[in-house]
Amino acid sequence: MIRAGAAPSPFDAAVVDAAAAVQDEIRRDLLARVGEQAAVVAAAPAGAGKSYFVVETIGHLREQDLRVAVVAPTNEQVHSLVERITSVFPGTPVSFVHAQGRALPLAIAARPGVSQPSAREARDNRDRLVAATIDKLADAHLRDGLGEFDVLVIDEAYQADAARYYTAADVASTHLLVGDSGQLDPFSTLDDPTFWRGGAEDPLQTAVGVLLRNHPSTRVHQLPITRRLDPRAVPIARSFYPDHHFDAAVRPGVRQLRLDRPGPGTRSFASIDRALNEAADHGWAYVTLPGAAVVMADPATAEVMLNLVTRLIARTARATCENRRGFEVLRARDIAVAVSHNDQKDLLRAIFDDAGLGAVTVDTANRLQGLTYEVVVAWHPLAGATVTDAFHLDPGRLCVMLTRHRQACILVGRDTDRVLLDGVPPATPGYLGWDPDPVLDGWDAHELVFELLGPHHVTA
Amino acid sequence: MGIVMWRLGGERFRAAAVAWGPVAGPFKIAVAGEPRNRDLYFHALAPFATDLSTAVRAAADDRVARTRGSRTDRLPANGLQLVVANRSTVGALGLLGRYLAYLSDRSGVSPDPNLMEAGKHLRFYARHSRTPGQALIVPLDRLLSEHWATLLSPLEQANLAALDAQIEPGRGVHAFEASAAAERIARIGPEPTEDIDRVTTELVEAFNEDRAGSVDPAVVTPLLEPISAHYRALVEPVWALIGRSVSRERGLPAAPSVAGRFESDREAFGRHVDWVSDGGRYRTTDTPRQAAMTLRRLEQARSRYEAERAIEDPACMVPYLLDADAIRGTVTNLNEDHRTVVRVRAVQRPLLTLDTDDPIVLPAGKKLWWTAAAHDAPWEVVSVTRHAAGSRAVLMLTTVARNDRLPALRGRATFSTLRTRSEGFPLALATAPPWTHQPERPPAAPEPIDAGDAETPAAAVDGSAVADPEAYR
Repeated sequence: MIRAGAAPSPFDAAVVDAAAAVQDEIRRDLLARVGEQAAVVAAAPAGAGKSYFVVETIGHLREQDLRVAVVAPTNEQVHSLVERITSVFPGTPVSFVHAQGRALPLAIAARPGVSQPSAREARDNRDRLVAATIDKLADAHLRDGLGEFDVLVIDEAYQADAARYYTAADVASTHLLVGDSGQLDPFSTLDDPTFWRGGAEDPLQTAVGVLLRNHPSTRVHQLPITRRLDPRAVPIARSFYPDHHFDAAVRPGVRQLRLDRPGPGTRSFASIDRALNEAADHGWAYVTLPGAAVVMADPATAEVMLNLVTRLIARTARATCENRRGFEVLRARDIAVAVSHNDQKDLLRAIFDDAGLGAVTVDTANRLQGLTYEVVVAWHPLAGATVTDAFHLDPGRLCVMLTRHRQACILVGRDTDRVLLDGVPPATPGYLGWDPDPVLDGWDAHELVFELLGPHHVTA
Repeated sequence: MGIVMWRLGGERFRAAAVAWGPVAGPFKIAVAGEPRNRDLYFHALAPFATDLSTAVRAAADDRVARTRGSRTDRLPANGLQLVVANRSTVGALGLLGRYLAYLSDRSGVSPDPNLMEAGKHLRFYARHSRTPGQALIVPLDRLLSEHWATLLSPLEQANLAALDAQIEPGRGVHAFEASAAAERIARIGPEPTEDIDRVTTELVEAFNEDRAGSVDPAVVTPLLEPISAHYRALVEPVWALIGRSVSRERGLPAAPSVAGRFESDREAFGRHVDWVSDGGRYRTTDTPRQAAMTLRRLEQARSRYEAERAIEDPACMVPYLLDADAIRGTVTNLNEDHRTVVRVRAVQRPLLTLDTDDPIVLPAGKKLWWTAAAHDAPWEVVSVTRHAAGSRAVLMLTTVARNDRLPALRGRATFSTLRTRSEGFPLALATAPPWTHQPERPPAAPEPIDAGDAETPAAAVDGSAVADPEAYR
């Protein structure tokens, strides 16, 4: 019942209800299959609240006293899962089984219910909820065994490759695979990673891919919601999910970003300030430097990115959203800088540290998967490139960069980047039994993103 | 053993000519005339298959003991090294091997066992060629482009003659001119150029007409001479090029890590020969388990090979220095007794100051390995400041001091992200695949790989003689 005069809900009830219905159906499906060799897949767009869904589902499974193993590809992702489980279900026993030197951060380890047993201890004690990376779970299973689990829950299942899934899959007969299909696919450092492509044995297909290939009748549920992105961000995000419809959970105008007016003596930052104003007003800004072919870790691009973050903080960026009563000042840790290469990361990390911005996250798209920030400044994968290639066209990389933010995203590139896509797309190899084409998909996604960002273009 | 191969245009799965023999020595040549005819094809390839199988077995006969811990293995003292002109030839030999290794009986008659054995060997060599740093099968285009810095693009480097001309252009000739000329005239194979194919077509047509359907060696052998001469003329310059290239490379000293990598090669070679000798057969495709384990093995081999190359060859370290993945400079201070708190107590962690010649930008906390101890513990960047024309980096060793872990004071040292030891030892995966990696229904058995051999090949289409060209648009 809505009382007269009550503030309207910041959420779009139709979107939230539709998502809740899908989530309930996934859990019903999963519980109905416990004890069978079967799996349920939950595919989600960026920021659908997957991790929260995973945690809630684990709560349901534990209510049935089922023994659960929950895994994710990286330690950071598992740390975050342990933290969320103990936040949503305080005191719930969670055993984090980890490799040497990969213990939980102290703040999480100290939470009630959290323990860090060896694999053997977890097995002997029949710990009811075990969290680990997919590699560690597989290693522990091969060495000492962890005992049989009722359900294996894999978070970020589109990041996990079939090779890793091979061993981990044996710990339980029933699986729940949750993931974001728009993110980066598993990759290899080999010169010919496509050697097995198209074959059922391909170790580099995703965990979801190998499951669906061998068991095509497995149900795939699509979560029709993004909770992280607001309505202004959704059209661009949809470029990366052509077969998956979703909407923003929050209503338009709920999230707002405000900045102080540029003060006197800041004329030299006029273009930077224009970009920040555009991002604050519209949620997007696309900043370009003059066209040039530059080295990967281009110092000029890095300087623009530093100026954007410095000015954002200097102009006292304040944000409000569905979780806040009024405007709150953004902290450095609410901001992330996304890049494609480690040398770009190293360069930015060093200059951000020198500028006293050590709390700003600087990382590659691979490492930012699954994380959320208020504002993201992204180094365009094609910035200053002379040719396109599969790595830089990868739609997953651009998707991660453009879908980590809640308030605004600023993409930094060069005037000539778009010209790279003016010609005919390159010929790409085809593989029997394997339909996706990362190069052509990436070409399309990049073209669409350039077009959608056109109105937000600012010249640096 | 050197091998040169030529295929028919548009016939990727048939070798029109195979030449083999000791590198820089005389070669033998096998020419089928009409390689699409199974009898002629097998008859022609039989001597090559026999020689290859004999050489492989002979190389594996001489064994030496290798002891690691409590385990002793008997590895071949050497392996049979195959030398080919380029990576395309490796692929072509792999296809030939794949074809021969799985031959089926025809009308109750088994194919020559040497053919099938040679097929297994070729298949092994082609698959082993994926291992970074291996030297059992050496495509010279790759070897030369890794050993020499030239003006050629990666595409141009696939032409062995162009590479050879860049390295030794001849007195008074610019390397560019020499390689451009070589590229224009050299025919390396295995794919024939159009001019070669036109001649081959005429010769094959004449051969087929003359033999009038016969596959009797007494009839066919004399008729083969024009085609054999044609291919012999094509092989001779390639054979000479291979000999010259190998001779030049043999003059270079081997890197220290070569012996270790070749030991891995010998181990793989010995395992393969033992498997084949015991009647073992290879699957046509990997199981999910084999693919997963191969992926990990190859990734580790690649990482180690890249590290070893850069550490042993200063020129190979240059890209890492440029990408800020390595720093080089003079050690100006070394504090072995420096202590820092790790978890709860202060422990010894030596500090080192490195003055670099060029400015560097590195974030604090980045891990770098001293190239002289790249198998050991890393150093961590503590700080980087400007210093003279370069930078001053302070690094902290992440373990206790030991003589072999510390570079000499006032000596030159290089630190990089490269290391020669992997983080863990991967365990063998369970033999039985989990249900997720098995199909719900087993796939139907495939037909034999040579099932279509009895069928008459479709007639070739000549664009200039097509009655209705629109049908092909």
